[in-house]
Amino acid sequence: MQRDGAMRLSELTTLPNLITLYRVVVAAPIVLLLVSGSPHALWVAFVLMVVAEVSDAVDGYAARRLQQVSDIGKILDPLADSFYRVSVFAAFAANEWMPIWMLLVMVWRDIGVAYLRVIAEQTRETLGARQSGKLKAVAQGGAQLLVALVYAVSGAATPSSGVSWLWFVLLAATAITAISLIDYAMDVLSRRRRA
Amino acid sequence: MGRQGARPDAPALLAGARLLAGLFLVVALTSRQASSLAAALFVMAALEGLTLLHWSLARQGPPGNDGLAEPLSGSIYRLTVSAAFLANGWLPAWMLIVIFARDLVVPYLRAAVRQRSQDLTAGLGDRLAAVAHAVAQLGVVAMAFEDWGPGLGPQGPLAFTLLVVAVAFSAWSLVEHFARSAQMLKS
Repeated sequence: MQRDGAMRLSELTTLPNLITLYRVVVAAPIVLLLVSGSPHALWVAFVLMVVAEVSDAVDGYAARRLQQVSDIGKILDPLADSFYRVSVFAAFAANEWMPIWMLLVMVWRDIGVAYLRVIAEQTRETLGARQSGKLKAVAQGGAQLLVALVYAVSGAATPSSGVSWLWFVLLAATAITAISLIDYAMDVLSRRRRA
Repeated sequence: MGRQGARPDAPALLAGARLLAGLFLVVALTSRQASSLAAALFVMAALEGLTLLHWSLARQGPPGNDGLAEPLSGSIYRLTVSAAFLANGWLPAWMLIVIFARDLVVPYLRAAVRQRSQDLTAGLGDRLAAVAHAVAQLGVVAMAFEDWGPGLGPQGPLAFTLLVVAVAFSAWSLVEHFARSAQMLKS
C-alpha cells in the first residue's frame, strides 16, 4: 500500500496497539510455562494462548472500529505475531513436540518477510498484511492451540495416540508458512519491477 | 534480493554460502556423531573466515544488494545454528527467543526508519554480537567434538557462559538499534 504519512511513536499507546502488545508481553511467561513440564502450567499456558489468539483477531477490528488505524500498528501487528508464534514454537521444539526443521521454516519465513518489508520501503511503500499472512496466522495459531491442548490433556506426557496426526497438523501449518513467504516475496518482486 | 538483471556481487555470494551451509550444519550438528561434528566445526570456522572477508569486501566496494544480503544471511545462519543447538539441548529456548527477537525487530526498525528516508546502518553492537556468536558457536561445537574435561562439555558452565555472553550482545545490539531508531523517528 502506498504510504500517506510517516509513523509517530505516540500512536504506540492506542488501544488496538496495546492489545497487539499483549502478545509480546505474554510470550515469555507462556514459554516458561510450556517448558516447565508441569501439567497445571500447561493449562495456564493454554488459557494465555487462547487470549493471545483472541487479541490477534480483535486488534485489527478495534483499530478500524475506533478509527485508529496507524502505520505503526501495521508494522507492530505482524511483528508481535511473529515474535509470539516463534517463541511458542521454540518452546514446542525444546519439548520435542515438533521437529527442529519445522521451527526453522517458521523462523526463516518471519526473518525473510521482515527483510522484504525493508526492501518494500526502498520503493517508498509499506508492506501491509496479505491474505497468505492471515492464513498463516490462522494455521499456526490453530496448530499451537491444538498441540498445547493435547499435551495439557495428557498431563504433559507424550500422548499414547494422536502424535502422528499432530505431526500432520504442524506439517500443514509449516507448509502454509512456507507458501506465505513465497507469496510475500513475489509481491515485493512485482512492486520492484513496477517501481 | 538484487535488482532485476543484476549479477550477484561477491558479498551476496558469500551470504549465499552461509545460507547453504546453514542447512548442512543443521543435519551435521543434530546427528551428534564425531565425524559430523568435525565437518561442522570445519565448515563453521571456514564460514567465520568468509564472514571476515565479506566485511572487508563490503567495506571496500559499493553496498551490493541494497546492503541487506549480509544482515539477512547473518541472521538466518545464526538462528539456524542456534536452532540446532536447541534441538541438541545445548541452548535453552529463552536464548533462542532473545536472538530471534533481535534479528526480527532490527529489520522492522530499519523499515520504520526508511519511512523517514533515513537508513539504520550496522552499529558497534552488531559487530560485537557477530563476533560473540561466532566464538560461542565454535566453542560449543568444539566442546561437543572433544572431551576437554569436567565442566567443559556443550552443556557445561563454560559453554553456557559463552552463550550467555553472545545473547547479551544480541540484546545490547537490539537496545542500540531501538535507541538509534527512536532518535531518528523523533527528529
